[in-house]
This record gives sequence, structure tokens and C-alpha cells, in this order.
Amino acid sequence: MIDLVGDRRAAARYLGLLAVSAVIRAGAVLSLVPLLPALLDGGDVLGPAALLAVLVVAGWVVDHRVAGAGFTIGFGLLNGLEGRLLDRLERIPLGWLTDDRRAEVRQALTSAGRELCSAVAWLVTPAVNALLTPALIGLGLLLVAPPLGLVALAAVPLLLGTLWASMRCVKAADASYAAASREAGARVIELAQAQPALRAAGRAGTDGTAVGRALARQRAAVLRLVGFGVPGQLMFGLATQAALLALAAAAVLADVTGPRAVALVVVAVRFVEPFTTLAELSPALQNLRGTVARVRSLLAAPTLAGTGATPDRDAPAIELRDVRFGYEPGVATVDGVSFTVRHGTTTAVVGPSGAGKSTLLALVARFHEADAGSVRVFGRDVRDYDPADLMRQLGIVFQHPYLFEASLLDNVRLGAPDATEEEVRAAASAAQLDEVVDRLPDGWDTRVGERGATLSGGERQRVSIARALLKRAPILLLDEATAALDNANEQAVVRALEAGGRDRATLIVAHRLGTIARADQILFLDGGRVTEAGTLDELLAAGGGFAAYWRHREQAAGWTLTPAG
Amino acid sequence: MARGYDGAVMKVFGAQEHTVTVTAVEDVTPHYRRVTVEAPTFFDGKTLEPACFVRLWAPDGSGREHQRGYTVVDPDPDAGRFSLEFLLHEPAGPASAWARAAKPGDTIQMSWWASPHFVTPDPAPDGYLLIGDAASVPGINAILATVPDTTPVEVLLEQFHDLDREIPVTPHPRCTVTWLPATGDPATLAGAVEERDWSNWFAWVTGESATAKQVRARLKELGFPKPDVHGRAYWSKGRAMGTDRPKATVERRPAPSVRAGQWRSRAGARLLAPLRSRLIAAGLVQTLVSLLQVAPYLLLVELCRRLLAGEGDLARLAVPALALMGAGAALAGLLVVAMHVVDARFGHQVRTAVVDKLSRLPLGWFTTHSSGRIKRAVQDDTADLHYLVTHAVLDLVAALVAPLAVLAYLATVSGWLTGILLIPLVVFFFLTARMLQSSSSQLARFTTWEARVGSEAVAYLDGLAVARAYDAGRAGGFRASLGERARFLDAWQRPLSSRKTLVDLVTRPLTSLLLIVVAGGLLTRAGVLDPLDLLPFLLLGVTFGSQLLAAAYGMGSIRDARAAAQRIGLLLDEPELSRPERPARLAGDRHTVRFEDVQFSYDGRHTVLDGVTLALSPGTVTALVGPSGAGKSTLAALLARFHDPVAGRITVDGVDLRDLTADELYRTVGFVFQETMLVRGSVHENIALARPDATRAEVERAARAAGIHERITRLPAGYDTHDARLSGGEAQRLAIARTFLADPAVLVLDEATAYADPESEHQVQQALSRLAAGRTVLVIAHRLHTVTGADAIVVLDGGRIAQQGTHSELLATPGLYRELWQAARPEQVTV
Repeated sequence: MIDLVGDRRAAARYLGLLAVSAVIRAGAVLSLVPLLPALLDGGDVLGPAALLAVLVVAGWVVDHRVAGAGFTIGFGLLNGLEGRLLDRLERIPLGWLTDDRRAEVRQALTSAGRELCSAVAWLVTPAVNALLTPALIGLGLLLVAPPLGLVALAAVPLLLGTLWASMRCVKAADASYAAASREAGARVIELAQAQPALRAAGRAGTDGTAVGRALARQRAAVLRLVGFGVPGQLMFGLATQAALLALAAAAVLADVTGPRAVALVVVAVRFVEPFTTLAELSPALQNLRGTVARVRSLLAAPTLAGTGATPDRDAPAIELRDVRFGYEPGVATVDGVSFTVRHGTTTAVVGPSGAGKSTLLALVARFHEADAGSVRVFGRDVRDYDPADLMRQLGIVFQHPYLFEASLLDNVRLGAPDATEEEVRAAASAAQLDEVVDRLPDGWDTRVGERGATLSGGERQRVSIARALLKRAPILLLDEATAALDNANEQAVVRALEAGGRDRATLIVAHRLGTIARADQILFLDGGRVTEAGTLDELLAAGGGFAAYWRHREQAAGWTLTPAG
Repeated sequence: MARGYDGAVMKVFGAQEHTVTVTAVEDVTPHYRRVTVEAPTFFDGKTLEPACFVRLWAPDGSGREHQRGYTVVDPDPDAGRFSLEFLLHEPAGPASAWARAAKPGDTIQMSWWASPHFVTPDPAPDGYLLIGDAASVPGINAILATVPDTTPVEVLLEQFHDLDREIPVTPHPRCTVTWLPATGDPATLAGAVEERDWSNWFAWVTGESATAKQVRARLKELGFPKPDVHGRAYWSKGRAMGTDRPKATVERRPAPSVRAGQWRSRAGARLLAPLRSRLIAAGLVQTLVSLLQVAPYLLLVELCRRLLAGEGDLARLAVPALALMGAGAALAGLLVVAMHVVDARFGHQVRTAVVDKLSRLPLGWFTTHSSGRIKRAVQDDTADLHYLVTHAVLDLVAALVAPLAVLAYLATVSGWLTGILLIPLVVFFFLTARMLQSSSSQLARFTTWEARVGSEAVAYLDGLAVARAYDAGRAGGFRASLGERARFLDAWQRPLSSRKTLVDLVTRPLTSLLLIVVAGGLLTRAGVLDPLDLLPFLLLGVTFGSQLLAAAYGMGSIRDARAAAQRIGLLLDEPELSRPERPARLAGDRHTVRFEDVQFSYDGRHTVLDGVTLALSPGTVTALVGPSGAGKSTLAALLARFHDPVAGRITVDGVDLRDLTADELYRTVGFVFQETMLVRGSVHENIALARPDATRAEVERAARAAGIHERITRLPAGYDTHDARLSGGEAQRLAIARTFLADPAVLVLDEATAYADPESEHQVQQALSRLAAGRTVLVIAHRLHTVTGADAIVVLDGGRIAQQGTHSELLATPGLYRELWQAARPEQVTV
């Protein structure tokens, strides 16, 4: 965790003070060796007592400084860490953010700073102290009563080892429980999600069903946890007790006078106690490790870099050459795709679902990086652009439009913050937003709420399209942009897209016929490959996969439900 | 002015005093006076909650001031003004007397310190029972202002003076106020509380103390659990409040005849009830174990004693030491095993109960509640309970017993030294209480910050793609929020940190050690203490303080477990579908379905279906059309018994759906809706879900009819492929195949099913057409052109049938259908 801190001097100071603090503590404990016999015998107490008092007070002072140093580090982390995380996040390829990682990143952003800050003072400090102090006491004992010192020094690794083993047992138990619980849990969730079907089939309870069996397996798994639980929960306690008795025996056998033996026994008890503290802190230490791991994985994530390429306007707008890509190794979602989109033209990508259509757009926008082949925008490989420069070339309409919590106007304006009001409204009109504005209470200023909640799916899509139109980027990427629109709106949007079509290159993924009918080039993507390419008439005349697909779409549009035997 | 004990406590804990000035006095009735005061700084940094009250220092004329609490009425934070309402009773207490004599310009001191307020219980109660008298009215008014309009409220007030009725009570649409003339018998008001099922109601009892006591006893008889009753006496009849009250005797009354209701707030406790005795037993055994674990230290004390006395026999101590260790370990081991067994059984019981519950809930429940809630109950909440049983209880007992036992033992050795050892703990409590007091307002802001940053983080991550694509600034808003929160935390914690360090230094073992050595040394020198008695302190007394403090942290997981139990309990309490006592059977395969004046509402307020009467003849196709929200989907779902109608009934061949078992119902009624529901298992198992003993030939026939057979044969293992990855449309055809195999005579269908997956829309449509053949079909139509061939089209509007007929009949008649048809016309243009 130290390297997270950044400020080396503060860290060094902190650790140094910690070491001093541990030495003082050990010293204070060892001062009992001369003190107690004096106390018990009635000898001269003053000297040793003064020594103890001085050491304890010195310990207070040093520990106060340690705390101060710890807080400096902690607050430094608090103030700086989140900024660093955000900086990193802005340069990470979006494809890296899977659902799991997203949850971890969210946790890192919201609570890591705070946790690390409090961890330094309340966790790291006592833990390090608990580690160092017994060892130092042992060393001191070597000078005072060598046999006892040897036993003590031998006990340190033994006790630490037992603690570690016991923690491993507990961790294994937790993991085992979580696994069993997950399996049964997944079955129950499936039960909930498919309840209507299961109820209709009479398979909804626990009697003789898959769920019932999964639950029984979970119960058996929990019983097996005992194997971990017993050693995990008992081992350490037993070890400390044994160590204590062994030390006591060593103290006695060290063949010293009665009071001195007593003093050594008391020292032995003080020696064992920090291990118990360490055991108590260990769950929190585990959590801390988890937090640190999350932060580090985010800070170590790959970033998009570029070599500052500039677009070559004479080259085709988009060009893919033999591109291969798969989300999972071994499964190629895009399996050798090549095509070109020239400026002023519209290319539509059509095909069965899962064929990789959206993936193509993601590759152009560099949300993922191709495994093989090259993706070029204006003649340069996308990897050579600075991320911001690449984005400047693209206007994107995503499949699931995301709106910010701001006014409708501001959401559209996002496309070009410097645009004039007329330009914004013009783009919005083209995207058929006027009727939406009329419907809303505050018109353009209506706040569309978190994630654009007050608008329907089709309305959000239109906002998204308006945004892209406003940006007037040289390339327009549309992913199922008209899926949620009714026919009238779809036609109007298609007309608007055509109207500006000569000024840009458009790559559109769609399956609505009205949207793709007039494209300059239609690519039929099946199984990760472009199996057919051409204009609508050419493809229909060819009578291949696309023609069959088109026919099905037509029939679907004209279907009526008439019982047919 | 002398303020006595109360004043001292408040001063120690740092309560802030304000001087307020009276600006107006109003006599609402001769016995009820409203005093308006002004205090410009009083509301600074204070968030106002309902029914919060201030503490004022009322002089009693003899040089002493008494602290009294009064509810804040009509606060106006901007003007720094608010009112208090006083009940002027005889004999008058200090506050009453002051109010009686108050006039504009008078001043009095007040404080907010430690004033609890009304918190709406969670889950929200089904109703509120507010009981008291004129003194309770300000508090009751404040509560009424927060209660939702649809929740019933019963207010019972004891009337001491005729004009009490004139005191205004906040109006509320479902509130009934009853004033009962006081008879002098404190039990009158209690007797007025009806004997009825008060399940899930919340009671707020204030007012005169003897009466309040009787009322609370009555509520307890009626079954109110403690958390659902808030009781606080405001005044005592015949006594100035605060001094000793006369003991009120509570009459025994006969037990109520109505079965005591069941409160949702106790759901968690009900769930944990079977565990309780086992947990207590475990606690007792753990106590024993902890004592056994302390015992070796006592042996060490004995060892030391023998060393000092010069006795030889030391090795003999080894045997008991080892024996104790062994016994402790053995017992602890047995305990761990036992608790795991208990947990395995109990956990299984709970999970089974949840699953069985799911099979009895109305199907409609699953569409309105995300599966997340169920996941939470089955996985996360039962994990909390698992932790409770196997670790939390044992750890807590162990953490408490050891230090307390040590404390008891040390006290027997030397009371003085034990007292001295307790000093660090006392200092700890004081310092911590002060810290909490001064930072309590910050704590609320902290929670707000956490929630805000949490939701902004989610929004930021979700919008990351768009932000990047549109260069929406460098995450400005979110970054600024994070920065602000960091600054807030810094400003809050930094000053606290030095205090916390101080607290830490005070409670650490070495400090205690020094105390023992110094104090012990002095006491032995003074001859009060035998040096031998120092030994137990040196061996045991050094750490017991910090151990006791550590025990406090164990409470957290107990709380979590109780919250988890409450969530599961609430899930298990959800209302179920009724089951028939004498189930009927349906005969034959041509069935007539009738909807008889069916009414339905999801939440009891908004009516979705308002008296629908409809008959489906056997073998016909009936289409439901209408604007969105008209109730089409709901009506169809009722036929599949996703819910029961609120009024009216649905019958098949004259048999009410509620009189059929689920099996019998779904043998006859099948449904295909938009959600595909595949289960884990092979393709064959999915299709044969309702008929597990179907042959492969039958399954294949169904698959062919659904148009999915070809696709299945292309799968790696054909029909035996497990967890096949199918597209939406393919999964839908699988579900259709399932329905083919189940072969119900009545079919409920959502036409938009096909539309979900545009790629295979056509094939799904063909499959649906084949499925509909020969059955009685009820289809929900979103696109009018798909049902032009139906035998009957029913047009729903606002929950009622607006029109009915065939397509040509309806087109010929001016009406809703024709309008809808014409509005959809442009569909024809695009292919």
C-alpha cells in the first residue's frame, strides 16, 4: 500500500516513528523486570518506577506523533486518490469496463479514499505495532533471561504462522460457503425469473425439483464447513494459551529468584497479548487488502494512448481490413471483415442477431481493440489517434441512449457546446423532437431526470440522434437508432439523416427496412463475416441470404394472427 | 439560577443554550395558551424534524430552574420564530406557571439538546393510533402533517376541560378525532381503545402519566409489540411534573376476545424465534468456555504466588493447566460443531420456506418485484444469518464474558484498585460522548454525502461512453462532488482525530499498566494492599478495558442479522394466492371462459379494470385492443391467474379460477408472454417442462410445430444440449414448443411476443398462428393489423369495454376502433 501514498518522505517518517514507538513499548514492558521484584519485595521502587513512567509518557508523545504522521498520510490519500482514479478512468478503453469491473470501480471511487484514510491510523498503526512489539520484547529478553528470550523468539514465528493458517481456514470456509450459496442462489433466482413457466408446468416448489436438490446440496456444504470452522476458530486461541504456558514454564526454569520469575511471567503475558490484537484486526486487514487491490487494479488498467495522428481527408472515412475480434478467446465475433465507407455515402449493416454488427461500430470507436487486421479512420489506424481526436471525428448514437440529468436542451447541446440556439433547435427538429417538446411541461427546459427517466424509449432515442446531428462529425455511427420509433417518426428521421448525408460518412446498424432501404451499400453480416454486399436491388436480385432475410421482414410486417393448422 | 442535576449533565455534555424572547401570547382556550417566541440564532445548523421538542428552563420563583420539554409548533427558521403550546393545569408546574404569566418581552432559556423526534417507522404502518390529551395536541399535529393521505389515523383524546375541543387538530382525510370527557379514572381512555385487529398499526401515547400507563398496558394486551408503541407521559395530574409521581395501579382486565394481530415489524423476530433457545444455550456454553479460557491466568496467579512464597511444587500446576486448556478446547470445538449443525438446518429451513413461498405468491408479484429482492433474501440475508449463528453470537458472548468475569474477580481482590482501573473507561465514555454530541449534525451530512456520491458514481459510469463520445468535460460535476466530499471529511475528521488519539492513548494497556503500578505501589506502601494482590491486576487487569470496548463492535453484526431476518420475514409475509378448499375438476376439451363483472386495481387506489364482462366461446380467437393503459395486458393476465380480481370473477365452464388448483388451471390455460423463461437443463427438459415423461418423438413433434426443430438439430448435442445459447426469437419458439406439448385448450397470448426479436419475427409469428389452431384464444394486440382476422375484437378503454365486434363491423361503426385504425394507417407505407 505504501506506493499508493506517493509522498515518500511522509511514509518514511511515519514508519520511522512507528519503529521508535514499538521500541519504547517493548522497553516499557521490559522495565517491569527490575520494577516488579522491587514492588513485591518492598525494595527501591522509585528508580524503576520512574523509568516505567518516563517510558510510558514518552510512548504517549511518540504515539501522538505517529498518529499525526499517520493522519497526514491518510488525509493526503483522501484528497489525492480520487482525483488520480478519475484521471485514469478517463483514459481506459470502455471495453475494459465489464459489469464486474464496473462494480469494483464504483466501490473504489466512492469509498476507497475514506477507507484508506481511516485505515492508516486505526488499522495499520496498531497492526504494525502488534507485529513489532513482541519481537522486540523477545530480543530484550535475550539479554535479560536468555532461555526465556529464546523461547519467546521461537514463539513469534509460530504464533504468526498459526494466525496465518487460521485466517486461511476462515477464508476457505467463507469461500466455500459463498460458492455453495451462489449455486443455490442462482437456482432460486432462475426460479423467480421463470416462475410463471414453472408454475404453469407444476414444477414450482421444492419437492423433487432442481431447486430442492440445490438447496439440499447447500445444506450438505454448510455441514462440511465444520472442517474449516473448528481449526479456524480454535487453532489460534489454543496456540496462544500453549505459548503462554510454555513461556511461564521457561520463566520458572530460567532458575531465577521468585520475584524475578514473577516479573518474567508478567512480561510473558504482555508478550502474548499483541498477537491477540493482531487476530482481532485481521478481518479488517483482509478488507483493507481488498480495497487496496481494487485501487491498484484500476490504476494499473490499460490506457488508450495515441501517437497524435491526424486524419487524411483524402482517404476513405472508414476502412476495415480483415478484422478479427472476439469477446472471449476462441470465439470470434468478427471473423475477417473488410469493407470501406467513403465520405458522402451511407452503409447499412444487416444480419441476424449476434452476428457482430454492434461490435463493428465499437471497433471503429475504439471501445475495443481488434485482435487482428486494421481498423482505419481517414487513413490512419484508430490506435494512432489520441483518444480525444478520434472522438472528434465520430458522432455516435448508442443502442441504449443515455441522457444526463439536465434540461432537454442541454442534453442535445452536448453534441456541440458552442453551437448557437438555432443550430441546437434545428438539430432537434430534424430528429423529430418538436412534438416531444410540446408534450413536456417546461418545454426545452424540462429536466429529463436521472438517466432521462421522464421520456419514453423512442423519445430518448430522438434526443440521442439530435445530439449526434448537432455535432456534425464527419462520421456518423448509428446503432439500432430507429428501433424504438414508430413508423412515422422513423421515416422522418431517415429523411433527416439523408438530408445531411452528403457531408459525412454514415455507418448504420439496423433491421428496420425503412432505415436501410436507401443505403448506398448494404452489408449482410452472418456469423462474423460479410457474406453479401451491394445495393438493395442488387442483393434482392442475387436471391441469397439477404433476400431471404428481407422477405421474412416483409412477411413479419404484414402478418395477421389467423389460426393455421 | 440553580439548575440541579439536569443542568450539570447538560453542561458536561456541552448543550448549547439560547435565550429566546416572547413576542406574542394567545389564549386558544382558557386552559391552553400559545406562546410565540423569537430566537434569531436558534435554528442555525439545525434540521427540523417532525415533533421535535425544545428543552426550556422554567423558573419556579424560588431561585431554581427546572427543565421541561415542549414540542415546537409552526417553526419559521428564516425569521427565527416558533411557538410553543402550554396546557395550563392546576396545580401548575414551573412551565405552566411561567406560561400563565408570560407576556411579550419576557425571556427564557432553551436548548435543542438531545431532543428525539418522530421518525416514520419503516415499513410504513397500516395506520396510526394517537392517544393523549390537550397537552399532546402539538405533537399529534406534527405527526398528522407527515402521515400520507391514504393511511387511516385514529386520535383519542381525553378531555379535561369543556373547551378542549376547540383546540385545533390538523385536518387529515382519514383521521377521526374522538374526545372523551375525563372521569377522574385513569383507565377511561384505555377502555376506549377498541378491541379489534390492530395489526401493523403504530401507537403514539402521550399525555397524563397515569392515563398513559393504563393505555400502554391495554395496548400490550391487544398485542402491540414494543417497537410499535411510543409512549411518553407529559404531565401528572395533581403534581408538578418531575417530582415523584403517585404510583398508578394498573387494573387487570379480562383478556381481549379478538385474536391479537400480527405486526409486520415483528416479522424478523418471528423468523428467528425457533433459533432463540438454541442461541441462548450456545451463549451459556460459550460463557463456560470463556471462563475456562480465563482460568489459565488464574493458574498463573497461583504460580506467581507460589514463586514468591518460595514453594517448590510448581510442576503440579501444569496438570490442571493442561486439563483446563484441553477442556476449553474440547468444549469450544463441540460448540462450533453444534452451531454449524444448527445453522445448516435453520438455513435450509429458511431457504426452503422462501422457495415454497414463491410458489404460492401471485404470478403478478414477479413482474412487479425484481428478482434482486429474492436474490438478496436467499443469498445475502441468509449469509448474514449464517454468520450470526456460527460466529456473531459466540464472538459477542466471548468478548463480553471474559472482561466482565475478570472485572468481577478483580473486584473481589481489591475494590480500590479495580476502581482506579475503571478510570480510563470513564474518561473514554465522557470524551466519546462529547465528541459524538459535537459531531452528530455532521454525521447526518456524512450519510447524505455518501448517498450522493454513490448515485453520482453510478450515473458517471453509466454515462461514460456518452461523455467520452461527446467530450463532455472532464467529468466535471462528479469530480467536483468528490472533491467537496473529501474536503468535508477532512474538515470533519481532522479536528476529531487529535481527540480520538487522546482517547486511544487513555485506553491503551500500557496506561493501565502504569496506573496499576503506581496506584498499586502507593497502596502497598500505605499498607492497604497486600503486594500479592497486585498479581491478578498485573496479569489480567491490564487489557480488560480495551477488551470491553472491543465488544461494542460486535453489536454491529447482530444488528445486520436482525435487519436481514426482518427482510426475509417480510418476504414470507407477503399475501398469497388463495387456494381452493374443495378443488374442482374440468372436463372435456372445449371450454367457455367468462369474465363476470371483473374489477381490478394494483394498489387499491387506481382502478385498472372497472367491470368487464366478456365471454370467450370455445375455439374462437378474441383480440383485446385499446390505447395503452386501457387494461388489455391486465385482463389477459387475470385469466392466467397472475392476480385475483378485486371484485367479480373469472370462470371456465362455470368454475371460478379460484376453485382450481394451479395444476388443474394450467392444464387447461396456457400462456405465451413476452418474457422467455428458460430453465437450466437440456433443450428436451425445457420443452417437456410440464410433461417430464414425454417421449423424444412427442418433443420433436412440438418443436417442429413451433418451427424450432431445425435450429435444435444444429446445436452441438441436439435436444440434449445443456444451456443452449439461443437468440430471443429462438427462445420464444422454444417456449411455444413447450406450450404445444402441454396442449392447453385455452391460450392467452401477447402478440408483441414476436416483435421482441426482429430477426426471427416471422418464424415466431408462424409458430403462433399454428399454436392458435383449435384452441380458445385470448390475444393482446398492440398492432391492430395483426388481429383483423379475429372472431371477436374487444376494444378496451379506461378499464371498460368500449366496443365489441368483428373487424369489418367495427370499421363500419364510428368509434374508438375506427379512430385507432386510422391513426395507425401510415404503417402501411413502410415495408
